[in-house]
Amino acid sequence: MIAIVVRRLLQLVPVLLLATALVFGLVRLAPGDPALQQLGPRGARNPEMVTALQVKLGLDKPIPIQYAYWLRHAITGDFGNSIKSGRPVLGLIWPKLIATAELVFAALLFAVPISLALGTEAARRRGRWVDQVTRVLVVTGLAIPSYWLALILLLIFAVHLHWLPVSGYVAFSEDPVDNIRHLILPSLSLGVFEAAFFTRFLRAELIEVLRQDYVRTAKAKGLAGRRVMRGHAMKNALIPMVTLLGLELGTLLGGAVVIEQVFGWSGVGWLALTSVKNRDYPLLQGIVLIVAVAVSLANLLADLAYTFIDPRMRTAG
Amino acid sequence: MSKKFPAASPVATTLRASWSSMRGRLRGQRTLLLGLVIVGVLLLAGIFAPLLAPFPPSEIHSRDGLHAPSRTYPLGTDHLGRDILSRIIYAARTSLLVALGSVIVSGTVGVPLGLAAGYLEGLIDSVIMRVLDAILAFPVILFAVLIVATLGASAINLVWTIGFVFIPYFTRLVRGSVMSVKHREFVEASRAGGASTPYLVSRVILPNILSPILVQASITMSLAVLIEAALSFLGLGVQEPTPAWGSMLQSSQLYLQQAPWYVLAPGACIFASVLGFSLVGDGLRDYFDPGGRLR
Repeated sequence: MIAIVVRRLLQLVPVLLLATALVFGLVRLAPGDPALQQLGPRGARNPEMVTALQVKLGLDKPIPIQYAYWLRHAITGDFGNSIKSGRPVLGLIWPKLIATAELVFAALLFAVPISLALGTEAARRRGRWVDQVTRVLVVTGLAIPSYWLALILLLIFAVHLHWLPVSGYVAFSEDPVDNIRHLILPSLSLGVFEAAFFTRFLRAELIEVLRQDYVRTAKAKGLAGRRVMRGHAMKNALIPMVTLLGLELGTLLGGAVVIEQVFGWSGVGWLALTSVKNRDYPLLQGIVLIVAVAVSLANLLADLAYTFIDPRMRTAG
Repeated sequence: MSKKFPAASPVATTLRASWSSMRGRLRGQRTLLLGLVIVGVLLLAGIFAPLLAPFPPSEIHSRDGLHAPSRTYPLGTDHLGRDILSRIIYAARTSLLVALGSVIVSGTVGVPLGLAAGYLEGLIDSVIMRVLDAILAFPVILFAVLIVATLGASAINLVWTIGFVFIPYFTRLVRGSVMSVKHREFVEASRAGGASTPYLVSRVILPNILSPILVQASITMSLAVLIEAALSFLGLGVQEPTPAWGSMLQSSQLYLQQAPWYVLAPGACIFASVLGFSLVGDGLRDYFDPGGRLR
């Protein structure tokens, strides 16, 4: 088991190195000299200051050296300073990360129970009306753009009924009730796709499991349908669900970029778009990298969880 | 089959036979048909936009700003008094062209990479796959935001960006398919017959893995439409005055209160295209592979 963990962690190293190189290269492609940007229009007119800062930032060195220099700092959590505010990038990202995590968690809190209920019922009554309705819901949920759904929910629940606020973010520590009121619509919009995705997966997985011999044996022994489902089928169908949850973090974080914009939820995605508008490349670079590391780690954890739950994977992997 | 029994007109017989067998298979293919109808309608709307749209898409009717749906403006007007129906019809061109362009980009890069990785294996395979893993470490939208932010927002940059982020999906699929067919008898037979590697890969292996590629292309189309619209919605896509469904949604958000109808049509178009292309993808998969091997 430890050998597997170590091997997977080692596999992650080249992927993250390439990912950082990719982001670094892309940001260097962007128009404008980082030193000029950091100094602002007034400082940029002073050539000595520009040269001094270029040397300080290592911009006079070749690109690969610059990358190594930047990477050395990045590993210790120093992603440089934001051009707009001058403050360290990591300090700006951290609080936003909490807001995004809350949104993602709330979306899953909505998506997972729904998919468990719908997926199980649809698989158990395959071909019946529950199944038919579920399949239509799944196809719709997978195709509906989350930002459109968000606008329609806004129109109904905020603009017309005035039940929920239109936009904004209130920290949980400030006002828990208001925090949750602001959270409902964004997490619903973000969660619908995941609910549909998990339902489709669980339905297919359960149908496959219900065909297995051990399920037939359990039924032949005279166990009630419910107990067979819970004790035999679900146990085996849920293992791949765990992996899927880890793999979906990337999709959720990507979706959060758009949803946060619609609802003015000041999370990481919102910060990323603000940094795009301000041409604040160090900040954008830091965000993209932290998200990439988080997604890679989540994928790794999902893999390891799978290995941990299912002993068969330990030899196969 | 019918080629072996030359009738009065062998070509006609072959055609008739393949058509009737295709019709038979299609009958059970409601998914594919529904998808093809939706995609067909959208394509026709895009192609014949000038004939179908009641107004030029950017024509401003300054007195009719945020006009509710009426006989003159069936879907109402936007804040500048432009006819929403005309704009969503023209936007079909933008969205479908960008999506098609992206799929062509990711296919032309991703498929050869997958062929190389799957056929050659070893070091080349590892290098290709690790590089693509690095791309996959980023959420698609966030990565696209980063690329567009550095390259600048325009239709052509959208094509490159969306094309780029979907390369790994084609490569992974093709690599897996190549590995599963390359030791089959028909490949071994051509190899034994002295076929060169390029010939084997392009003439023997590739034709046999076209169906999963086609399925992937269709599903990627649906994702590309979704991403294009999302980027346009964020203001990073096609710029005004060119109509795009995503940017129309973006401006509709400002007028949710005064013009609730504005939000409906552009979103419904995005929904319909995503649904259409993914139904075609699912349907094609069932059509090529009724047993579900590709699933």
